Amino acid sequence: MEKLRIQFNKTGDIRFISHLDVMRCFSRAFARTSIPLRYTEGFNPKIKMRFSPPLSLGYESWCEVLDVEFVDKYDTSYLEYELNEKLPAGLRVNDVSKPEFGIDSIYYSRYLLKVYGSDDFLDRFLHKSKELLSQNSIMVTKSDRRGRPFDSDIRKLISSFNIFRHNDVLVSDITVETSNFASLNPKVFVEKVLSEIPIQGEGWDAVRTQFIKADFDIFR
Amino acid sequence: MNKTIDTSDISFDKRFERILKNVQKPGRYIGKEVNSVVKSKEKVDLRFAFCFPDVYEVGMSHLGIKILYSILNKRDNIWCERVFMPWFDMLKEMKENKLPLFGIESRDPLNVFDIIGFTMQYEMSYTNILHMLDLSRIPIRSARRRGLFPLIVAGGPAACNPEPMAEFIDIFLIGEGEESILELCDLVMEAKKENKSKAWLLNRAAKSEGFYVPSKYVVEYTDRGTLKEIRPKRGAKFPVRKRIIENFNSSEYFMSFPVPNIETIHDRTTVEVLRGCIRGCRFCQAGFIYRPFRAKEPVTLNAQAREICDSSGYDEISLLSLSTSDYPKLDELLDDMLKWTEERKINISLPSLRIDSVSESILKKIAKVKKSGVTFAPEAGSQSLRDSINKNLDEETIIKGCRTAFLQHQERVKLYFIIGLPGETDEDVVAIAELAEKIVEEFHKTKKDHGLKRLFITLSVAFFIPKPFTPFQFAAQNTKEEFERKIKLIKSNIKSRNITLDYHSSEMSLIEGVLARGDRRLSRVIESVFKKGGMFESWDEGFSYSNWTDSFIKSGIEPEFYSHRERDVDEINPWDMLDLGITKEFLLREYKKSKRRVVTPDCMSKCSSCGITEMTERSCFGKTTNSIQ
Repeated sequence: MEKLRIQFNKTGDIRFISHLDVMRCFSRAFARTSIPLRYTEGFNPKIKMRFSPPLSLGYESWCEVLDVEFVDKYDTSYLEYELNEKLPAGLRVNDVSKPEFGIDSIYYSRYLLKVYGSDDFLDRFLHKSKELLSQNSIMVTKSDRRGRPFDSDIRKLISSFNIFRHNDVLVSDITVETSNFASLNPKVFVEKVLSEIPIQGEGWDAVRTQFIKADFDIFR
Repeated sequence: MNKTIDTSDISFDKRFERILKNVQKPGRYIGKEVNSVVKSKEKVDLRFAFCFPDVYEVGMSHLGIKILYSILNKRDNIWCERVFMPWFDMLKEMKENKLPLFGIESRDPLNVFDIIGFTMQYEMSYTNILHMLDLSRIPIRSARRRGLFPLIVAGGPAACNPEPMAEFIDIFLIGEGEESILELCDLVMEAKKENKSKAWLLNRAAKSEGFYVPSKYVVEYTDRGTLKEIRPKRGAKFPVRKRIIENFNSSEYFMSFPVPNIETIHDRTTVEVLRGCIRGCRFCQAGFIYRPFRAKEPVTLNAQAREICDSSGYDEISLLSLSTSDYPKLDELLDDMLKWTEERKINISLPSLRIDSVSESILKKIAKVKKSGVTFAPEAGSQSLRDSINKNLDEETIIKGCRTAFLQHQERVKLYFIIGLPGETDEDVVAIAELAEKIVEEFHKTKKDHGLKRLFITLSVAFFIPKPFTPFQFAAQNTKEEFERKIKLIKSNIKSRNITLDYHSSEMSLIEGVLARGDRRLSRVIESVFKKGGMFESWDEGFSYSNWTDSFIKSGIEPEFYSHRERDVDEINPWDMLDLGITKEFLLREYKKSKRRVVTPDCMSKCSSCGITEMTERSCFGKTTNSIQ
């Protein structure tokens, strides 16, 4: 038995499938390789897979991670090749290796956001986001499981934030908490900024670029 | 994410991407699945758009599309793509952003295809077909499409009464499509190569076996509104005989099919064990139109199952047919398959198990890998009504079947019933609740000794719809009021809290009833509902009863004429230009027997001369019974 970590990208159109769909894609890709894997016990056995924190539907990623238990030992580059042969376009394995840390040690996610719109809009977005970040708290309204609204401070979940203009696009590098204790979807922050700007933009994109541990080292 | 406004000057890809951000389940539209077929459009002679007039998740669960996609794409010179109906939100975005409906593989608009083929699985999808054409800016009426391309064709079970769609579809493929679809492609390629007109093509098609070209037939009506005559124009076949493939066991089957990236309705793969049905339940259209009964050999099925699991990676495979327990070599097949499926944690499911065939050994085999609930279809509550519909099933067998399931620790039982069956009395309706109560009783008897906890019975009740090519094609459908009264009657007779009652809209069943036995004049109604924006009529989200009732009035059509009228046995039916092998004499014989509540033995026990052997020119079961031909 060998536990290995698979690091993969989710880019292009496939970003429009959900986290559960990605899990299914991997299960089926493994089944198509006919490499034996360890299964969970019980009436409905599933491949033992552990994924990094779910990526929002619509976001791309360069750093997704999945731990799998193989029945036998395999050459890691063979596994990488085989999986890339069998995975749907847009899900691409970059690395297969023995994990150093558990997936639990992921504490932050780093995202690259791209915001589109008119010059005026982009200026306003830039200033508004900087202004919000300079405050001690950023209050947003969330809803609980029963749909009842409550106020929540998201400032403390943003560990670093940088934003700059690059040609026609605003580029933001944002690191947010995605730990077992709390997590923030950058969408919540973007929507907060948008709600405070009177004019509309032309959409935005997000890419998850890195996972970071609690000690701020990069998670691999 | 923010909504975009001005989009006219940007490329398809960019517009498409922006739209995807604004819709639910965008994964429906992206394509590029593993095993999807992409060819070079310059190198093929014919492009075929295979359209399923419902959402991706429904269409991708359908067997026919998998078989035909595979057959078409096997030919180097043909490229077949899939097209599905966009959901409401996507449709709105596409219209606002002026994005035409496209093939999921190439993302090219439908109007660049040579043939656009629709599968007509259910009547309530008819308005979707018109929307799909309209979304591609293709005129919906056949007569308005002067050029050869795109040619609009249709097939599938609902095409056994093609008339309500006659004004829209150029050619219907009647019967099994595996062979005729390629013949059609060849014909179209010939027309294309030699620069022939649409008239030339339709003339040629109307003379070929299994092609129904509605424009080649003149329909006249009597003063009462019934059909007076269906007259073929020069050279058109009459009747149009359905196609039956040469050899089912060795017929083309798909060995790979695009593996959906998102969850579909049936998230599993399939092998087709049987085609046709020996039972002859009198309400069941599929039981008659897919005759004769044919089975594949276990060795064929096992090899196909293995190859499909290898190419797809699915962890579930279903043994599909109208009644899989009628497969004489089921035990042998399951044993063969379990040799490899168990190790690979692949679950085998039997979606159509007859309750009288539930043996412990079969239940154990299918429950070996995964535990799933059981579903049975007694169809009627009382014994005499079950006899009347020829569901050869007695109460003792039903209770015994449930008991067998309980002993296998199955605590979820789903039972299918139909109300509104011809000759049904209130006692028959109440018997549905009584039967469920008896099953609950049986559970409580079994419960203690076998460590069972709680039983969940779902009574799924459907409203009876008389369909063409069944013995009940002559019968009147219940009215809305009758349906609703009967539902109340069942409700008031359910006492146990283990039982839940599940039923759909009676209004939807009424409309389906009209369309199922409708004639050409209904084209006006369908077009009117389409123009009112009616779509996804088989979905609660889409169905609008008032759209239909308004359109009936506007078109001067009385729906009652089609649904609530007992039809004269000598009356010409709108579908009488088709020959599906089943004779009217047989259907009438069966209808009369049903009135006397007399059963007909299944085909394996005794041939009841339905007529199909005259079409195939061979007996269904050879000289000996109980063997696969």
